[in-house]
Amino acid sequence: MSSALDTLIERYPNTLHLIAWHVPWWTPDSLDYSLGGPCNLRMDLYTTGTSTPMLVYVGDSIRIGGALAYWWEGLYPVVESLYSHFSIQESPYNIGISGNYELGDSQVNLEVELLIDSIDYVIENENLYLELVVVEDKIPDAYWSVPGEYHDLRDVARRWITKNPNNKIPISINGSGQNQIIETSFPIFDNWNPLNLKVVAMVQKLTDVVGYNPIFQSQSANINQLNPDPDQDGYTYLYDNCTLIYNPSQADSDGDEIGDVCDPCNGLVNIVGNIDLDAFGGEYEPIIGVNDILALSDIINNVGLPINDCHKIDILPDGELNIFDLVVLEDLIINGGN
Amino acid sequence: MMVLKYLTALASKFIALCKYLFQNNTGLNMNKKVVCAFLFISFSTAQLVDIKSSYKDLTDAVEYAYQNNLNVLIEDFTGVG
Repeated sequence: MSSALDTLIERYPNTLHLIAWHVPWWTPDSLDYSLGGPCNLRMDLYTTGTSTPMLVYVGDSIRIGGALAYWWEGLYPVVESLYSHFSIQESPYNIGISGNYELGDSQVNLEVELLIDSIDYVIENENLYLELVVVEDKIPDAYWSVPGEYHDLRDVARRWITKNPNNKIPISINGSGQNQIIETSFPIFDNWNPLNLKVVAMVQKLTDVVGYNPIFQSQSANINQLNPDPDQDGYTYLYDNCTLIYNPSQADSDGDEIGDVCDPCNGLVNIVGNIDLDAFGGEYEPIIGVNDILALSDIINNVGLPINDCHKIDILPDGELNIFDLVVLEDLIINGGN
Repeated sequence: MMVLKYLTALASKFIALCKYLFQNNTGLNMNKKVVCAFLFISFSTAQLVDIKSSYKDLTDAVEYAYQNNLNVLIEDFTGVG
C-alpha cells in the first residue's frame, strides 16, 4: 500500500500526514511494528468487523476493500465526494508541535499548542480531543510478495500516546484567538530509528457512532525538528506567517496570512479574473481585459499556457471550470469588474 | 434519457445566459455575440475540459488540498504499511 503513498508524502510533506496501522492478522509476528491493541481500537472508530483493508481520510471518509496487493491504483477510484470532502475541511484550529529532544535521549518532551483562528462564532467542542500518535518513517527492507521486492515502509504507527482513557486530552477552547497548550512525553525504544520518528497530532471528534469520528485538523513534526521558532525571527510556529524564513517584519501585502517572503501567490496580481496574470506599477495593479477572456478560453480548450497553482479561474464559483466561467468573466469585464 | 435531460438543462441555462447578455449592455452586444458563438461551438466539448470535476482520485484530491493549504490525514489500515 505504501508504495503509492510514498509519492504523495514526498510531494505534499507539509499538508499530507499519514498513520500506517498494521492490521495484526496480516503483520507477521517477526515484525516488531505490529500494534494489535491500538490498531484494533482505531479501526473500531471507523468500521466494524474485519472490513479491511481500508483507508480513512480525515476520520470520516472511508475506503474499504482491496485489489491486488501493490496494485495501488485499483484502490484509488475514490468517490466523487472526496473533492468536496476536502474542500469543506477548512478548520479554525491550528496545531503547533514543539519540544525538546537531542539525539541519544531516551525520551521526547512535547509541547503541543492549539490555536483558534480569528472567528466570529463559538465552536461546539463537545467530544473534541487532541489525539497524538508516534510514527516511524522509512522502516527499511520490508518485503512485498506480489511485486517481489523490498521497499521502505512509511509512517508506521509506533505508539498511540493518547490511547488510554486516562491519557485523553479534551479540547477546552472554543472561541476566537484562544489557545491551549498540552505538555506530554514519550519514551524512545531501541528498535526505533530516532532520525525518522514523527509525532502526528490531530483534532478529532470521538463519538460512539462507528464511522463518524471526523478529524478537523492534523499536523506532524519530526522529533528532530521541534524548535518552535526555527527561523529565529521571534515568532513561533503558529504566530509566524513564514515559519522557515527569517521575516521579523511579518510583511503580508496581500493579507492572505502568508508572509511576502514565502508567498508563492501574490494575491494582488493573482485575483479572480486576471487570467493572464499581468499587472502594472509598483503596486502590482492587475490588468483585467479582453486578453483574459482569450486566455481563459485557451485554458478551457486545453491549449495555450497551463494553469498554475496561483490561478483563480473559477470565475463563477461553482467548483467547476467551463464555458459559464467565460460568460461571467466577459460580463465582469464589460461591467467594469463588478 | 438522463444524458438528454442533462444536456437539455445545460442548453437552457446557456441560452438564458446568452439572452441575459444580449439584453444588457447593448453598446457591446457585438463582442458578446462573438463570445456566445464561440461558446456554442465549444459547448459539446465543455464537459471534457471541466478541470475541477476531474478530482476523481486520491492524488488529485490531495493536490487540491495542498494548493489550498488544507491538511489531510490518512490512516492506512491495509496491514502492509
